[in-house]
Amino acid sequence: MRRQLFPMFHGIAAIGLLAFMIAGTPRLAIAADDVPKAAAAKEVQKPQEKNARQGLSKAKKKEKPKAANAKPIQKKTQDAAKDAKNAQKKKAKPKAAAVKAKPKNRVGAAFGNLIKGAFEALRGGGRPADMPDAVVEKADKNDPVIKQFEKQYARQFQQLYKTELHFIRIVCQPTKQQFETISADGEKVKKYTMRKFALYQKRMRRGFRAGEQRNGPGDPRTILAQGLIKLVKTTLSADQAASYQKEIERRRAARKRVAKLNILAKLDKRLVLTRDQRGQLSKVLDTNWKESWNNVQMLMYGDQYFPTLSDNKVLPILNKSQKDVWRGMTKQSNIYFGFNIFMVNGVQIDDEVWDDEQPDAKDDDADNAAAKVEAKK
Amino acid sequence: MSNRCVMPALLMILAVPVVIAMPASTLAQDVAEEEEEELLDVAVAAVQQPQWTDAQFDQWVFQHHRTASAARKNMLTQLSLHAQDVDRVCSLTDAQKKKLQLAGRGDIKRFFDRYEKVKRKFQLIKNDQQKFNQIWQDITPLQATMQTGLFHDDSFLHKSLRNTLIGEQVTKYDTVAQLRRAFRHRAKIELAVTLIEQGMPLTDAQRQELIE
Repeated sequence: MRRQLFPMFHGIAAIGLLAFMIAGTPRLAIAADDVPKAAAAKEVQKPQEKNARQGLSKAKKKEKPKAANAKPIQKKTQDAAKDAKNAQKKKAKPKAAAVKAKPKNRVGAAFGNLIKGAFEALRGGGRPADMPDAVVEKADKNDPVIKQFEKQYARQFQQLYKTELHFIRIVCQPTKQQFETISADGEKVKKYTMRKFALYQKRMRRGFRAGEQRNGPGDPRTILAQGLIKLVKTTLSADQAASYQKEIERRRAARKRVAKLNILAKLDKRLVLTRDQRGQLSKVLDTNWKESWNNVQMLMYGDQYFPTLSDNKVLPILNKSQKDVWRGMTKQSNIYFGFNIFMVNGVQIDDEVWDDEQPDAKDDDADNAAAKVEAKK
Repeated sequence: MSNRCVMPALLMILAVPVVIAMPASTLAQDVAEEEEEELLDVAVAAVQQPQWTDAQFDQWVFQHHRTASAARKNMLTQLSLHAQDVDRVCSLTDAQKKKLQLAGRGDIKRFFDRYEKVKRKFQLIKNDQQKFNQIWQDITPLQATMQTGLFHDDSFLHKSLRNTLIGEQVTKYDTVAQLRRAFRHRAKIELAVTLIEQGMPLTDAQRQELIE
C-alpha cells in the first residue's frame, strides 16, 4: 500500500510545486503577455499619432469622396499647400535668422527680381511677372526638388520638344543642317522650360509667398515655342521665321477661342442664356481676357470652375434669376490643375528622317510586294 | 518514518495552500486581462472607425452645395431658368407654365427619391468599414447627376415639352434649342481638337480641317 501511495504523493507534490512556481511568478507571466498588448497599444497610438502629425486624418478621409469625384489635382494642390504651410512654419526661425544676417542681399535680390519681372511683363513675353528669366536661369541645379522634377518629367519634356521641332520642320521647311542647329541650340530652351516648371513645383511645396503667381507658370508648349522662335529667327530666313511666328499666333488665338467658347458653354448650361446674352458675354470675356484662363484642364473638370469675372461687367447682361445664380457661383482665380505635360505621354515620336537617310532597299522591296498583294485583293 | 517519506510529505504540505490559493489569483488576473483587452478593442475600434455622419454624406452627394436644402434651392432656380427660357421663346400660357413646373418638380422629386434611398442604405452600413465601400457605387451616379444637371433631354421637363407646346411654339422652341445645341457642340469639338493638339501641334489649316 505504502509503495503504491509513494508515487502518488510524488506526483501530487510535483504538480503542487509546479503550480507554486506558476503562481509565484505572476508578473513574469503578465510581462510576457504584455508584448502583444503593447503592440496593440502601439497600433492604437499609431493612427492617432499619424493623424496628429499630418493634421489631415479627418480631412483626408472626408476628402476621399471628393477625390473620387474627378478632382485629384485640386486635392493634390490643397495637400501640397498644407504641407507647404507646415514646412514654412518649421522653417520660419532659420529664415528669420538668415534675413537678419543678410538683410541687404535679400531685399536687394527681391527688389531686383521685382524690377526684372516688371520688365518681362512689359516686354509682353507672356511670362508671369514673378518668375522672370533670371530667376529660372539662376535656379540651383542641385536643388533636390528641381533635380527630382527634371528626372521625373525628362521624357515628357523631350517628347514635347521633339513634337515642336517637327512642327517647325513642317512649317518652315529648313534644311537638315539648319534643323540640326535649331535642335542643338533648342536643348537650352527645353531645359529652361523644364526648370521653370520645376521651380513652380518647388514653390508649391514650400508654400506661395505674397505676390507669387499661384495658377501655374502657363502652358509648357507655349513657353517652349516662345524660346524656339528666337532660334528660328537667328537660324532661318525672315520668311521662314514669319511662318512659324504666324502659326504660333494662330495657335494662341485658337486656344483662346476654345477656352472662351467652353467657358461660355459652361455659363450657358448654368445660366440658360439667350443667344444675345451669349454674344454679350463673349465680348466681356474678350475684353477682360487673362492668359491663365487658357487652361484646358479647367474646361475639362466638370462645370463648377469659372474664371473670376467682374460682377459689374456681367450682372447688367443677366436677368434677375440669372443674377441670383451668378452670385451663388464660385469663381476661381488661383486654381492650378497641374501642367498639361501629361497629355504628351501617349505620343511616341521617332527621330526625324531626311531624304539622304532613305530606308533600306530591302524594306522598299517588302513594301512594294505588300502593295502588289493589296492591289490584287 | 524514513527520509524517503518525509520529503514528499513536506512538499505536499507546502504545495496544498498554494494550489488552493492559485485559482483565485489566476481568475482575478484573467478578469483584469479581459477588461484590459476589451478596453483596447474599444480604443482600436474608436480610432479605426471613420465615424461618417449624415452631413458628410450630403456633402459627398451635393458637393459644393453641401446640403440637401441648398441643392434643392439650386435645382428650383435651374427649373425656373429653364421655364423662363421656354416662356421667352414661346410665350407660354399659365396652364403651360404650370405643366412645365410640375414636370420639372417631378425631376427634382425623382432625384431626391434616389438620394433618400441611398441615404437609408448609408445609415445602415456607415459603421461597417467593409460594407461601406459599396455605398460609393450608389453615390457616384448621384454626383454625376448633380454635375450634369437634372433638366437634360431625358428629363420629365424636356419630355413634357413635346406635349405642352403647340403649333408655332414647337418650331420656335426647336430653333432656339438647336442653336444652343450647335453652340455647345462646337465648343466640345474645338476642345477635343485642342486636346489632340496637346500631344502633336497642328498647323492652322489642319486645325480648321479637323474642326470642320
